[in-house]
Amino acid sequence: MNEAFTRSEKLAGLFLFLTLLIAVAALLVIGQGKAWFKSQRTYLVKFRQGYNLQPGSSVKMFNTEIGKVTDLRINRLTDRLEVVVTIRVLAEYADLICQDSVAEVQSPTLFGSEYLEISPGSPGKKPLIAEYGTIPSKEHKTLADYLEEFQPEDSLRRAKQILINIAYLTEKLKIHEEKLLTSLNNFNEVMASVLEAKGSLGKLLMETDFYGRLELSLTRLETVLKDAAHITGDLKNTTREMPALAQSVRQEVQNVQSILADLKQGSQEFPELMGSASEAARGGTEVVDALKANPLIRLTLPKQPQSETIHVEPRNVP
Amino acid sequence: MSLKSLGLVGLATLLIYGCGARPDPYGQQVNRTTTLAIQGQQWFSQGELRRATRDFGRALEISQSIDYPAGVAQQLNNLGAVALEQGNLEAAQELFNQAWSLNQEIPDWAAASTNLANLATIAQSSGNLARAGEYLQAALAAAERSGANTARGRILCQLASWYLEQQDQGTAAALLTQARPLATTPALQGTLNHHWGRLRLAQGNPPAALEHFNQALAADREILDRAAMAADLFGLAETYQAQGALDQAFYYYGRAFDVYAALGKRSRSEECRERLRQVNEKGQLGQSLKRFESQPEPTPTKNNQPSS
Repeated sequence: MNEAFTRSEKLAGLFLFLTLLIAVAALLVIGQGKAWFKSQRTYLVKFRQGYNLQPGSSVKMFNTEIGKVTDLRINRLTDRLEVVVTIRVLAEYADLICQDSVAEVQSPTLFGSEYLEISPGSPGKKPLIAEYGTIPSKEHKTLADYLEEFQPEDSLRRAKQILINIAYLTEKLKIHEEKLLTSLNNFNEVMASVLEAKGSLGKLLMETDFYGRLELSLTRLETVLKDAAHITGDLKNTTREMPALAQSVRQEVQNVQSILADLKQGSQEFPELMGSASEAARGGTEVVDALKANPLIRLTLPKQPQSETIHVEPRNVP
Repeated sequence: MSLKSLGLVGLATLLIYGCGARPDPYGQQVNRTTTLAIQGQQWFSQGELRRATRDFGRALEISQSIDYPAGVAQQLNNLGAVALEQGNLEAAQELFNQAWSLNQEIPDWAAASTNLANLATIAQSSGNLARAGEYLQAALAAAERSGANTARGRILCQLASWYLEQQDQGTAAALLTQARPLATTPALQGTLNHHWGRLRLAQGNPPAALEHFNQALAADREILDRAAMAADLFGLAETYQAQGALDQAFYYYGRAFDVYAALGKRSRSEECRERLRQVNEKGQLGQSLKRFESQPEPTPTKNNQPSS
């Protein structure tokens, strides 16, 4: 029995065929963009940690994407645990990956995610790395590493010297305190002799006309001594608090150093930020220009006046 | 196909065409030049000469960098106009000559006629009326060659003004009559009416002069050409003075003084002040001149310092 296809069946078939054709074309276009049909080579890179890399993270050279991270796993086979990153690189760039190439994880300035940057080797001078070979790596510096790097050693040395000087001064103060107390004791003894009217000075001072003034002076002296004793007590307390104070100073110095390091890093990023801002402004202008180029928008825009060659009339000349 | 369907098809076509709009970097730069030049012209008409120089200078740089001779010639002329306004006649002449040469090469005869008219203005300001006449004849020839009515009207008005300077009212009237149908822009209408006002005043017809000066003032106000407005106010004041309406003359001289002073035109405002004194004294108006006397000498402001 030979039945011909109906019109509806033919249309359905045509529709399916066209859909298939479009799907294949789309697949080809996407695959072209994603480099699915390009030859790729696989390499390994080893790090102490994964640095937030993920399957799908970019692999770049000269800030140009040349491949992708395909897998990350922790290697337990060696004494030292390490992360093995498997990458696939376009075969056309394989001739740039030599024994002296170095892979390093790069972090974005503000936005984006980590990627793997491979420095080009010296093709011709150094042998190429074979497929599934390991590319030498360089550990990624963390913020703590940078801070450590930025901490100037001489500043720490100076801070230490300051603390030593503070301790020395504290000791000196203690010595003076003893001297002061000795002097006061001596003075008390002298005063006792005077009050007992011993010696020429005592006799002299025990005269009636001097007594009133002396009493007054003694009262004042007593006040002064009380103050001195109070001050000495404060000094003792202060001396006791000095190590804690020094510790606080040390802590503050460290904080200041951290802030300075942050500022330094921030200042390095500032030109980049400004560049990004300028780029964004340029982009905005281009978008506006593109919008103006659209006939639909151009039709609704107010007509721009024409620039003219200025005519200066004699009546307008100063 | 219904009208709605046609509309939809048209809209879809426009959308598709819009999506396919091709980038035009050269056109963008030309537009940028135009925008800067327009901005500069606005500053110029407001007496902000420093800002006008800045914008014309930028427009010139861009025009030169993208090989846009029409823009280069225009900005050279406009910078010349600024130099002329600042009283730097030598620099102005050099710039107008450069623009004129370039416009001959392009060729853009309408712009070239303006360059020549500006050269005539310089010659007239220097007191060389014969040279100014030669420039104006050449400008008229260039304007006629361009076929642009506006350019012709502009040159005819300036030529009429030149004849008025020489007390040749007949020729001036003939030229202004020729220019009348060509005055299609507010700027040209203002100029035409101003010169008609001067002619009527010279002919001893103050009412007609007043009418023309008022029309000129309205047209110049429309485009905010402050220097032209001041000239119109001065014309009105002169007409009232000629009529013997001295209080009105005082009023208009005062208004002209204010605009000239704001523009930093020292000699013009000094002339207004002198007229104010005359009118006040002759008419025994008893008006206080303190405002005009105490007002700081309208020296060129910082914005209007002559450029080297």
